Amino acid sequence: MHEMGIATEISRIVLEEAERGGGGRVKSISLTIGRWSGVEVETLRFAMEVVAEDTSLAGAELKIEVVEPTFKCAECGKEFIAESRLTPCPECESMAGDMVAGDELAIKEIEVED
Amino acid sequence: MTREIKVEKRVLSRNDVVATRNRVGFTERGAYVVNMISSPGTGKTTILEATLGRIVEAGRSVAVIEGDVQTENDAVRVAATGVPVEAVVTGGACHLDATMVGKAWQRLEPSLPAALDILIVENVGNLVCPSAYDVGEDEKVALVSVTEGEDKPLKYPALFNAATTCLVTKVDLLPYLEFDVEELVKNARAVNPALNIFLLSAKSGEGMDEWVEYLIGKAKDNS
Ligand SMILES: Nc1nc2c(ncn2[C@@H]2O[C@H](COP(=O)(O)OP(=O)(O)O)[C@@H](O)[C@H]2O)c(=O)[nH]1
Ligand SMILES: [Mg+2]
Ligand SMILES: [Zn+2]
Repeated sequence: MHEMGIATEISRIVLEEAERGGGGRVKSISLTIGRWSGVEVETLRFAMEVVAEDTSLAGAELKIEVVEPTFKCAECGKEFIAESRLTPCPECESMAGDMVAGDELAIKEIEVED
Repeated sequence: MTREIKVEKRVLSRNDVVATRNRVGFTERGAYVVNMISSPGTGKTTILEATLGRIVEAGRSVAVIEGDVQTENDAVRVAATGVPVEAVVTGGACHLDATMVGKAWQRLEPSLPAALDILIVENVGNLVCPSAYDVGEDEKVALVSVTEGEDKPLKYPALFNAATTCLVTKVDLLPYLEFDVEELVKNARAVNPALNIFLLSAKSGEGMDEWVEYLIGKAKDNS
């Protein structure tokens, strides 16, 4: 259960960026969260509510894009989503190569209201 | 009026900065650093005790940072081996972060040899959270015991994907269990085909030499 710590970091960065961008109430926060990031989306939503209380983040909409594990075929270069690396490439049936997405945990953008 | 502000930042970017600073300190002293991660009870401390003895016997230097939620019990166990150790009691936090490890390193430094070959960090018992926090290690080692499920790697892909090495512990118990080691290995490779996998038992000693040989092979020769 490290979502509380993650939410605290998100709130710190968002408040900093909002301030740097001229201040105001934060209306939305866009996050990208990989399925393999180790973060539970519903737990994070709850943690964000707790952390945002009584700050200018209170009530901000959380826009979360969940990124599925995506691999690049080592043979033909096709990128494809798979449950695990045992899934063969849909193009050429080789085994999945490097992971190219699905483990990220990032803040994409925020919307601020005057 | 509503304004959009591009952020494009990793959530744990501040931790990453501290981890990088730790890494510089570790490298300056010549240490190869491993971050051991598993559920509570997998056998991290027991493997650690058996590993330390073998490293010292091989004439190499080693130190330990012991993470625990509440007590210093594991650090006391490790200290009994005579190896320098610092405890980090997280007071509830389910993982070590780079700042905690950096502070422990500062406390540890006065008792270290000028050149240290290996630093082992035992993380807090948890399969999920520690994998997200870089503490400045060279590699993460995921541990899973044969008394846990064969599907652990599929249930916790974040850890097995981030790890370089996987230790399958307590293999001395295999004759008494219906545990399919091949299935576990297959599942671990499904998440991360590049994993180095060692089957071992701290109790019988099986597989310990191979693991320690691997570790010493990774460490720089500082002698
Ligand atoms: N049979 C057997 N038991 C083990 C082995 N390694 C650890 N244990 C037992 O597993 C329990 C938890 O071990 P510990 O090292 O404290 O686990 P940690 O929480 O991951 O640090 C203890 O009761 C150990 O005696 C092993 O190789 N074989
Ligand atoms: Mg322990
Ligand atoms: Zn292909």
